[in-house]
Amino acid sequence: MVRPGKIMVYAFLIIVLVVTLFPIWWIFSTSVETASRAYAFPGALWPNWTWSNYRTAWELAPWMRFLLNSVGIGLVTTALALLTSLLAAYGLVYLPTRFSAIIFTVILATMMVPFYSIIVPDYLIVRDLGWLNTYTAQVVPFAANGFAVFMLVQFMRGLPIELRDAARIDGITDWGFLWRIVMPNLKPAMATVSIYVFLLSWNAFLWPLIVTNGPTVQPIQVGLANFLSTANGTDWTVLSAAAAITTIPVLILYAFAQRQVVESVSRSGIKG
Amino acid sequence: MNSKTSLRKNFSSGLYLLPALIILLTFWLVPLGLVAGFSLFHWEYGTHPQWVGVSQYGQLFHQQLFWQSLRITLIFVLAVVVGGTLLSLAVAVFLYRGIRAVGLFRALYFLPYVMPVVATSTVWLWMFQSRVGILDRIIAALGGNGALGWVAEPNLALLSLIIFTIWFSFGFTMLLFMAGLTNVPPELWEAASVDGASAWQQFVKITWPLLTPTTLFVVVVNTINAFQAFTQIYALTRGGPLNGTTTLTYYIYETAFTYFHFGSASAAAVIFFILILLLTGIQFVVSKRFIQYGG
Repeated sequence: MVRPGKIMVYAFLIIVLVVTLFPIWWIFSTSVETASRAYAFPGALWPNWTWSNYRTAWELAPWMRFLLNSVGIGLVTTALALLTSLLAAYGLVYLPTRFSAIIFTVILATMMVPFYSIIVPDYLIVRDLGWLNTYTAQVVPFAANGFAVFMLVQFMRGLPIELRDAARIDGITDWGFLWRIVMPNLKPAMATVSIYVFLLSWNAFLWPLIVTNGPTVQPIQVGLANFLSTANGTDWTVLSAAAAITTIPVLILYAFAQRQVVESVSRSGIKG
Repeated sequence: MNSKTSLRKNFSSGLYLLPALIILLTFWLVPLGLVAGFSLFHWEYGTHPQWVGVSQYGQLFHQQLFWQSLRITLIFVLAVVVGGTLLSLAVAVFLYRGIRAVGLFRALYFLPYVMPVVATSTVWLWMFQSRVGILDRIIAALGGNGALGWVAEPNLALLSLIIFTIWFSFGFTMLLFMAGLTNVPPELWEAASVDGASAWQQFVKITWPLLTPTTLFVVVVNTINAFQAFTQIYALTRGGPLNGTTTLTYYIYETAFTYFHFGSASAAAVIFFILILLLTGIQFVVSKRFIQYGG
């Protein structure tokens, strides 16, 4: 039975879908279009499949370097943030002292600080540490995360208290307990935190823009932005190829990890 | 517990907390104090900071560009929050209530959100181009003025930014709404439809009231994200034309890192921080007062 309401619902959803996907199609179709056709109506609706734009774009900037920078910075930041948050959450949950409540509040308070309000002092701190134009500057400030600590504390509190008692009786140290018993039980929370921190790092733009000045340590977004701003007069077909190059790895990754990403984002509900 | 074991306990707990605390204090909390301090100095990069008290705040409030950036920020935030929230709510409700292949649709709507913003800005910039861009070409083909040059005129440039921002972020808030919908007991809808309630009545009487906590959360998250929009502004318009898209974040960035007026950028940053704090505060107060959390 097809009701008119149902048709309207499908129509609405499909129109929104077309508008959502069209620009993505447009990146790729323009990137494989010849310049003369791209500028004539209707443009690259169904392109000419000219792959030379990719060769041109590839030679104009060190894309592989940018990409590896982004991946490296993202992975190291994620690993460190996971480690510092696990340790902090463990200290708060299993080794409570009379300072724990206030420390937890301080950690939560960092979630309320918008990064844009502290870029000037952060820039000066990083400069004084001699970290300008390094990976360190792009990793260390994000190697701890209030939200990550919060998430892990919530999940750790959900673990049965008997676990700790049993471990204590068996003579397991705090350290061993954290690695062998708490961590394996926290896998979903850790996955959520990892995806959250990785996306935060992957999408970082303003910070690398101001603390880096050369392609050796720049992430892909800044590399692409600089490429675009210096590419005056370069054809849109070539620019689209450059944009496509920066997008393809993300799309491949998303195709595989789509379910995990969608689920962890719905769970965490926040993104920087 | 004697004082010795308590000391040891404090010590080992402290060791676990130390790495996170050092980083969060050094790069997040101490800078917040520093920025408040800097805002009281007239300080251009390379010169010696001069104590001027709160006079830089006064100067900001007398500066036309600062007021304009506030106004532009508010328009941008309001449009993105209202437009983005309504669109994502509609999509989520329709998707959730009776369509096949929910998972596929959901993943595709969310796709723009995971793509690098600079890359998607690039394609939109191409689509927004005057005359040769696809949008102007479609308008021309329909007999309209095909030389709008979306990002070339201040008001249209702001509209372009709003469209782009809703485009890439609505999939994210849609996910939040869909997560909220799983909390609605399906029996309520079934009972209502047995009683002959129309789809609209069901939405107004059941779905919407039970979604209010989620809606509030979405509005808060959307507001904070929109307030902090930067990448797309940098990539699409660089705050122009004629500062027509210079929001508060872009204003802070330009003051600090184009003109190197660290002092007055800090004053603007403090105002930015207070504004975000106030907004979040207001939203939570409003929520406590008007929303009954269904249980």
